[in-house]
Amino acid sequence: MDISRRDFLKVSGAASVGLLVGTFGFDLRPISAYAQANPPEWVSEAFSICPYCGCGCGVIVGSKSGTLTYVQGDPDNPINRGALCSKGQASIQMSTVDGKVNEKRVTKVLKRSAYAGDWHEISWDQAIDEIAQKIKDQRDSDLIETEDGVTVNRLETIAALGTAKDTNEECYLYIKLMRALGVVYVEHCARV
Amino acid sequence: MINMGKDENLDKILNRIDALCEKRPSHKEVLKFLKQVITEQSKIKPEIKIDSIDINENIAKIKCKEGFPLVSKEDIRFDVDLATTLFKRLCEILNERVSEDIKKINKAIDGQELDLEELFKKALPENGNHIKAVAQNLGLNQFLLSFLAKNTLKPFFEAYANELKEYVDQEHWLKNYCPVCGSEPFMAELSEKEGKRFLICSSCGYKWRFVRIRCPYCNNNNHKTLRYFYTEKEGRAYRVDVCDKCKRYIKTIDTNELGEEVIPAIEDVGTMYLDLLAEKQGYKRDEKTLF
Repeated sequence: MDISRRDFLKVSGAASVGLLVGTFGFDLRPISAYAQANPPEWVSEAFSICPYCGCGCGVIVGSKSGTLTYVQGDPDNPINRGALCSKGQASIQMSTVDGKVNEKRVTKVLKRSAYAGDWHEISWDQAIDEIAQKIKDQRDSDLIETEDGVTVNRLETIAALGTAKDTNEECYLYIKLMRALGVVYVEHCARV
Repeated sequence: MINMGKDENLDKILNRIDALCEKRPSHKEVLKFLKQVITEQSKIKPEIKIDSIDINENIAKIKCKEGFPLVSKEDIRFDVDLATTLFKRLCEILNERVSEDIKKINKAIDGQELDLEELFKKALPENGNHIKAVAQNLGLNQFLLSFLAKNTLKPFFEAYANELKEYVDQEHWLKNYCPVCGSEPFMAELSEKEGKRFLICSSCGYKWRFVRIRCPYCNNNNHKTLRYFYTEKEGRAYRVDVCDKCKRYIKTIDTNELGEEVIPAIEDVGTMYLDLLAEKQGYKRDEKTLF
């Protein structure tokens, strides 16, 4: 009997449980049979931030072979402490709907030109260039350099909207850029 | 706190063991063994007296901030006579299984080759060498001896943890070792409706808060090297979290799924099939965290 148990251990490769069995002589076979009848289902988890409102709640995202299977509030995140609103709870649908990849998810930059009805795909480089050009044109035409003889360099035709999800460093860069442009309407989405 | 062995809880514990035996007959043998051990441990519980512990809120606060456990296990005093009684009762339980070894132990105690007081004092995993030396000297199975010593001291450690738990700052500790005695966890729990993660101490049974995605053994927090598995048949009540960096695993109970006040020590023994699955996948469990 002992020999067959030991052989069994060799097959299952159990070290710590093997110690228990080897020491106390438990019969491992029924447990091993039970283990074989219950194959493991692997899941990966990652921290993320809810993309919707400005609160930036922490979420834990679970996935099975690359497909998201659940989204839940992160209990360790100081912002939401594990809670999520109904929209946040449904945020998995951006990626997965009823277990299938959401085909309507936007994964590339889309542009709708002025007066055009439909959207067409453009590259990130083109998008950034076009936005930069528009900002430059706006600033060139509307910058108020002086007021009552005082230099103000104020740009009142562009407004900026920040987000609570930005880090300190991102906020620093954001405010630095806006002030350099002369933008005075600097806002934050939590107050909108 | 798990309150394992508290007399008023004993019925609850034994009922849960019986329920698990019925649910997973494959684990009956180990669960029955656990039942005997817990019953003996609970018999001495009412007699355990705790010496006053030299601690106050300020010291506790500083220790928590600096990452020191409240007591060092060497400082825990226990009644040697009471511990000896439990040790001998545990030996009786084991007698049906490993009578040769128990005979050797009894002979060594009678012949004063085995000093139980010293064994208890040096029984902690940190002093593994002492147990090893004693076991070699007496020609005993090392794990058997450390099992006996560990389970003899368990009720004492638990009583201390129960006394000290009010000094722990759960929200700020978040370390991978016990805030009361400094030991490694043997199991984890997801509880409350938010799914907070708690670790359970392998020595004193204290339950403390921990980060959801982080290895409780090597502190690895790269989610790409952390994952878990569950089994379809048993559902999400039990899962095994593994770390691909240190190759260790920890079993986790989801109390929201299990729907009852769980006693981790029982669930641990009652889910040994998960240990087999984890080890088959190439992950390890340190023997310090076993039983």
